[in-house]
Amino acid sequence: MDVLKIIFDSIDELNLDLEESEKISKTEETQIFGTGDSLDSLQLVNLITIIEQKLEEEKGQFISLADERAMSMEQSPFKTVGSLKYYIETLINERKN
Amino acid sequence: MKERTDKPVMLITGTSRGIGNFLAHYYLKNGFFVVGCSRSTTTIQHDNYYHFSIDISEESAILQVFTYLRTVLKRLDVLINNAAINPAIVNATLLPYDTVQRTFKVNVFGPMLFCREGAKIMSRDKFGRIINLGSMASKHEVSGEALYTSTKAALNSYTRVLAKEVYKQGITVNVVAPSVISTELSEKINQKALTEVLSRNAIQEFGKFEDVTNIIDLLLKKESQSITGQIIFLGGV
Repeated sequence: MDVLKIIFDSIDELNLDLEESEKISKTEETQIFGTGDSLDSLQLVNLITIIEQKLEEEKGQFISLADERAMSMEQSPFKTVGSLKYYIETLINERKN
Repeated sequence: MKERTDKPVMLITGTSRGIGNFLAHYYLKNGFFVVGCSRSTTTIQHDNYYHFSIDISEESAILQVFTYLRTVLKRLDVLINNAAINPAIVNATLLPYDTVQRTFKVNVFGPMLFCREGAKIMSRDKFGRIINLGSMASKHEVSGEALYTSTKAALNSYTRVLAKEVYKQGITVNVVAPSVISTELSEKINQKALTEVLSRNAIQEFGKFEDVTNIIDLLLKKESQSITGQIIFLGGV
């Protein structure tokens, strides 16, 4: 499964609802949450909701991104697109094992 | 891929009896597609009703319901967290820990998960109504009801905070706390104690199911967008 593509598609969908100045770009370095030029908490929830739905459509199985580690990690997995990709891949691999 | 349903979708927990059962029948009559759940199977037979026999203290069971909502109905307009248990009316010093855990799972943690997943679906449509069923117990704080009362108090606080977090997504979240209505749950309670508690209210008679639908009908209206984060007591509590 191409997790990065799912995240990018989700960003496209989220951007449809955002003002021009709020739109986020599709790179692994894009800051998602926690710094100046990132999403507010409402936008983050919307992005996560879209990603969860796309993952479910692709995988036929729901994977909640509201995992315990997302709350406690010093380095939030929601910080950048790259960290989110790594986090989702980890969750998927754990399901396989 | 199947189109999303054109009927508004309402999810009600605890539809096998009591208030939840009444709500399911009432909103089916009023044009909703109702998704219900309870531990037992259902007696509700209707083309616009779908039932899950699940234990709402299990996260995986709750997630099944939302997979159905996302993939089959593709919408959720209203969530009513009605299911609750009140297994032990006993002095707090005698409460077994297993009972405490089980009651919090059903009365608080389950509703939290329903709200978490429900709000995410609702936010896609920028509209939603979440109603958590409360209790006058959280106001009267009666001896012997420490466990049930504290679960309902927790749900009140959770509701008020959630209301602030999801308001911009077009979702309102409120608690409707009925007076005592004659249900299997209320019949388990010492009737003398119940009468004593009711005597503290402006209205000392038992409440009716219709009192609950009356206030829920108001909250469901699009025009009720400004009513959120409220604990609405019925019966003159």
